[in-house]
Amino acid sequence: MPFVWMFPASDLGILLLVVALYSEKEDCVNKNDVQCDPQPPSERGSQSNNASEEDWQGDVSRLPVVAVRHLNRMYQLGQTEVHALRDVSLDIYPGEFVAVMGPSGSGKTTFMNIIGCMDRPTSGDYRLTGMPISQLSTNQLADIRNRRIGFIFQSFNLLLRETALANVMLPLMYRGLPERVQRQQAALALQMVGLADRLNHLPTQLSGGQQQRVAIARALVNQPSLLLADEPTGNLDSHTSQEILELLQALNEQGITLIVVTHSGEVASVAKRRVEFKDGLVVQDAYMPAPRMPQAVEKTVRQIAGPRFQQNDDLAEEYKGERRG
Amino acid sequence: MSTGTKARPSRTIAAVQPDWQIQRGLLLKASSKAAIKALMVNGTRSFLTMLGVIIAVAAVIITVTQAEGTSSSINQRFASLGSDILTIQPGAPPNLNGKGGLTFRIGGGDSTLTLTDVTALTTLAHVVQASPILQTNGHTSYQSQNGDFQVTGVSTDYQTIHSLTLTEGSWFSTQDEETGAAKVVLGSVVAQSLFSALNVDPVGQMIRIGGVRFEVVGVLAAADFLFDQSIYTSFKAVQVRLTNTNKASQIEVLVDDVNNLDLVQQEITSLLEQRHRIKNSKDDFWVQSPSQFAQSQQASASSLAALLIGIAAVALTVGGIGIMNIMLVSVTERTREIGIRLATGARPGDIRNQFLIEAVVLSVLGGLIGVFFGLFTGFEIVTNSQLPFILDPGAILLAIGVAGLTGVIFGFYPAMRASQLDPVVALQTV
Repeated sequence: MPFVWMFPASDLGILLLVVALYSEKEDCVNKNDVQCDPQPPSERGSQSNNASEEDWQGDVSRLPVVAVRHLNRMYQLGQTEVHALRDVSLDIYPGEFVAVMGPSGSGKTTFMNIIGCMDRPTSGDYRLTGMPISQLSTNQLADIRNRRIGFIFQSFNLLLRETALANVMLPLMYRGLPERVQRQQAALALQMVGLADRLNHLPTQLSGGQQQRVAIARALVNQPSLLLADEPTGNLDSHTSQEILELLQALNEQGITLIVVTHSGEVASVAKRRVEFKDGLVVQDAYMPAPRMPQAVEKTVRQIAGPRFQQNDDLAEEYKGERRG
Repeated sequence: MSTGTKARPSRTIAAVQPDWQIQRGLLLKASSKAAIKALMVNGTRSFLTMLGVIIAVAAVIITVTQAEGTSSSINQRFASLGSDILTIQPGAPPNLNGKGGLTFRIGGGDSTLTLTDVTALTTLAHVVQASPILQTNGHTSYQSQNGDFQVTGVSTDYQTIHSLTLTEGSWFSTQDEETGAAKVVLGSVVAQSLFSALNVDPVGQMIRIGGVRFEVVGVLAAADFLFDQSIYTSFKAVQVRLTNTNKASQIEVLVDDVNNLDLVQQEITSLLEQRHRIKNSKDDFWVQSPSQFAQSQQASASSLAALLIGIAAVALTVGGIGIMNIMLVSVTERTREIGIRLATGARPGDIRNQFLIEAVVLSVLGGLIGVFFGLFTGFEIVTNSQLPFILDPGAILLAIGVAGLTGVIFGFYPAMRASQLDPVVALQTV
């Protein structure tokens, strides 16, 4: 009967991995999909034509989550060629909270789409925690989006026919986890964002703030190394905006790398670093000396960080028990 | 699934990782759930889309049911005529390879079959009995009642060859046969039309056939219509009193066992070729066997099948185009949903499968409903025409299978379109 308890055993493996993933950033998405290279990029040399060897020289101990070199993106709009990004080079390190700002058409959304592996640059190199993204296949990009990147959108982008729980289960489903684990993990993520009592509500039955919390839970549920938010408070009133910002800041305090595209000065004021785009160029890149810390952050961090790891351990214990039985 | 290779829980990530890929699979179950949910949300639209397939499948099932009923009824009738009887027909053999049915030739004008042939045939091995048949039509009357019936001159063996039973009276005797006595046995329909109105017992009555007086000695029990509508008398009586010919219009031979039919058929052929002094195989007779009848049945059945396939192909193509149309609309409507799914990690293949499954669910469900609807209607039609109702599981499975295939074929293009959407563009769609 060894086959019978192989299932819980493999589930346990995933859970161990989930826990391990979060504590360790240098990992591969998939051994078979992505070439895993524990060496920092500087020692490996660049394979891009545009990025020269010394471009990758940097702090080896702090491998950037996002490293872009000479990124260009051009669109063909009828007869005219639109240069959305021009030679953008940028490093974003683990634990940073970056506000990407700029007027409409400045290229910040294009930048986000490329960072989020939804779009490919026309030229230039992009490495996500050292992985050369430009060499990945479409399916590998999908897997990267699934496990390494969480998206938060201005218009929430929830599936309107599905419950909050089902929406949060979506990334877990595409990761291929068993449905039972999907449910447990999604419920946990919703509990983290304070929606434990709204699991079976449809998005239409939730307020804007609650919908955005569901979206954040969905973005977090696969323990990504990078959280991308595009105008996360754009559709919310000021009070709710404040709540969401506190939540995002709390997540960042916990160690999640966060990139937020925004127009809003309020959002930018809580970020640790501000990158400003104009006409496809980075015109300003500055660290904020003293980002505003909302009062509630201390409390929220404890609320979130506490159950997060503890619950995962509980779950792992539970599987161990099941395996024995 | 994880097999023996995965084992000890390891602290290193690499050792555990292969599980991820193995676990993922095609997500068919999840995609099926999503597909069914999407179809339920647009209930009316889904049903209308299925209607094309429903009608196509129902039409095929109705036609199959009716065809099966008809062919089974023909087979039953043929069985009642006897499956172990060979019939020797005069003239050149008809072409049985064509798609037409059998032509029954009646009348012995150009017949070369004689009574001595019959006597010779009875000497063959495996031949139990043989009877000459001489048919003519005659205006028949009894007092005020009259009608035109077939008069069949046969030997006394004819009764046993066809296992005919009488409700009253008796079959004419061998002595009557030798003398050509004017004695007849009436088929049940004949007896009814001549005598029931007058409420007279037919046996012992004198009837006129073509002006000649015959005595009724027996009445047949109702059997097949061929027997019911005929008047039977001895071969010689017809020969002498009605037709004035010495040739038989057919000879029927009862074979001892169905398995010997082919053997006896060959024996008869060689015997008669010898007797008729035929060279170059230009026979002036042919032997009709039940298997030949079955062949002609199959020929007509296969032409019907070809027709059915044509109807089904046209109808399912129309239904499939309907499905493709709606799936294209659905992909356009749900572009944002596709964007969300892609952003959360769906591979293009997952999106393709989801929409493909949706199309297949539509068409298979339509096929199932069509089968039930078709069987119900077919049952009504068949029972109303007093044909047997035959359930053909092969046809049903084939109909559902082909409907599913339609879904795959016509769902593929919309599904590919969905899977090739750019996530950025898809998410910008309102």
